[in-house]
Amino acid sequence: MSAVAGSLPTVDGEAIEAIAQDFFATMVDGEHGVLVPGYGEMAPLVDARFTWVDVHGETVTRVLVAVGRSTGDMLTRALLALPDDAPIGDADFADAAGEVVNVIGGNIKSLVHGGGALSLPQVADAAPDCGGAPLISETWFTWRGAPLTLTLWNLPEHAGSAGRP
Amino acid sequence: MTAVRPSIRLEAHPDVVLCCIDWNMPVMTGFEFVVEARKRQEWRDITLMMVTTEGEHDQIVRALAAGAHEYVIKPFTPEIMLDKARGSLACWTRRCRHERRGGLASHGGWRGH
Repeated sequence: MSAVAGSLPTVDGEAIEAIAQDFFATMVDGEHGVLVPGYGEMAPLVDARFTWVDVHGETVTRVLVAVGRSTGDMLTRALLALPDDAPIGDADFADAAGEVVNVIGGNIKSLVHGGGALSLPQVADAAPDCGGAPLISETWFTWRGAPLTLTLWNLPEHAGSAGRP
Repeated sequence: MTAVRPSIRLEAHPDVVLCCIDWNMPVMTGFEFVVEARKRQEWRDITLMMVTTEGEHDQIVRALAAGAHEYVIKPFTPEIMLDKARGSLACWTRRCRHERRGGLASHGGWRGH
């Protein structure tokens, strides 16, 4: 976990880790300790997919999760309680990945000063254009041995996907 | 995250007794869903349960005021959801029995918690 200091909004890195781990323990794995913070150099994401929500408050905070597609497929099966060999289409993947970032982002919202409306989740096979926005925090985890990243970005005012009142 | 207007979804499933409603949905928010569902007399017995995150806690108050009966905070375990659903359905059953006996004849809303 690393945090960027200065004039940027500050967030509690340990709280962010706890939110992600609690989500996985409760709704994905049924037990703690499967999603664990990574240390050292992260293995590259293979065939990466990206999912994000924007928290609109005094500023716009983008919560971005990145994961390799095959890991994302495993995550989809676990979250949707599908058999281990169930084929995962793009719609199921988007539904599950969107729910992951929706829950994590919705709980991170309570940590962001002035956190207000939350946008609908977006899912893509390329990283979203953050317009050169500064990184607020970066965490990477391993889940079932594969890497998963969780980053927060401070977007310019009025940027990002529209929030829902 | 799949959501349509309640008039479409509920009319296709007249046997529904419990709706779990996320706040953050396409087409309409969970709050708008509750408001629209509560306008319809024939859906007044359906239990509306908001499913939302801690950061959206303030929105729960709005949803309950608009006619939602129950809420659950994500992330939740299957056991929590089952407990909530059982509780809501027990309230629904009691209410239906009470109405059959002539009570709450024109009650526009109720609280299951």
